[in-house]
Amino acid sequence: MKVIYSCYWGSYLAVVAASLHLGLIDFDKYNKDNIITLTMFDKIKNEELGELFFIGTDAGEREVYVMGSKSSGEILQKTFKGIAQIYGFRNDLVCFINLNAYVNGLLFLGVFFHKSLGFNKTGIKLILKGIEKNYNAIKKVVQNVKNEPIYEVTDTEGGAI
Amino acid sequence: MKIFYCCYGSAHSSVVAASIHLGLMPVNRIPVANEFMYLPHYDETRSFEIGTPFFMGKDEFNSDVFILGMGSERKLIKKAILSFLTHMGLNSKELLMVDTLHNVNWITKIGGFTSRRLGLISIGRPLTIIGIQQKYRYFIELVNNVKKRELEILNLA
Repeated sequence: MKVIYSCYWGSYLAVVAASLHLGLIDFDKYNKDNIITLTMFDKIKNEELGELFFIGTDAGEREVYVMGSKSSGEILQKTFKGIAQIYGFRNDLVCFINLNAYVNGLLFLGVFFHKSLGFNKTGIKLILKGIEKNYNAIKKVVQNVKNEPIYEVTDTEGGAI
Repeated sequence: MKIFYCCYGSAHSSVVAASIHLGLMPVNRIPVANEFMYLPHYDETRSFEIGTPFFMGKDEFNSDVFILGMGSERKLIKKAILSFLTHMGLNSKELLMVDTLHNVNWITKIGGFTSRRLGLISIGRPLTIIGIQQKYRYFIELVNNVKKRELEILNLA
């Protein structure tokens, strides 16, 4: 089963959610120092939007990915399920989580300062503030995903992949 | 092999291109308005269905033909599909994603908006048809090129 955490840029909310999922950052307490050291944090470039990045495998053998999907998260959610079905897989093989609802003003402003104006220090500071503001909400989303039943990934002939 | 005809909302240009590909629409003349009405999904796909691939049929080379609405980020969605297939360990060589929106003129765009967004079907639908009739020969040309490419890929496989 593939779990894809997606947000507008891919390397902020999605990376935090995927890292919470995999236990790479403290689940109970927000820790900004922990977040900025994450391998994929602030690493996805504009030309890499739309690409899946593998982050790790959880205890239930689910593969966890991040992706930057701009404002096409809702569309991609349906596309991936459709494509999985077309290629003979169960459509619940893919769990696509669109985190764009948790993009707030601070995050937007931070990315603008960081990516458009080149004020990296201020930008990252604002981005982290934005993440902190919605940290509990993201934790809830991740917890819900982890509580979902895990489906074995098989093709139409029943062979595991 | 799988062929996806892609446009904004999978309601007009992708439906027409896929239908020409499958022989549901003529290749030697411009179809009359009534012929569009019988096409599956023509001016019917709803906004919430954008992103869902719809199967249109199998062609003479046994390839599956689909239509897919990609919204305004077609480049990103195409990249995402290819990346997804790669991570699934699936072969993306026998896959064609064809953008049909290049063949859409402003009459079809206004018609599509009027019909799909505003719900004024009786005004919008005829406009979409007039627009496509005007550009129909480009649709035939596009499908011919797709079939050439399809054969090249199938011969290589």
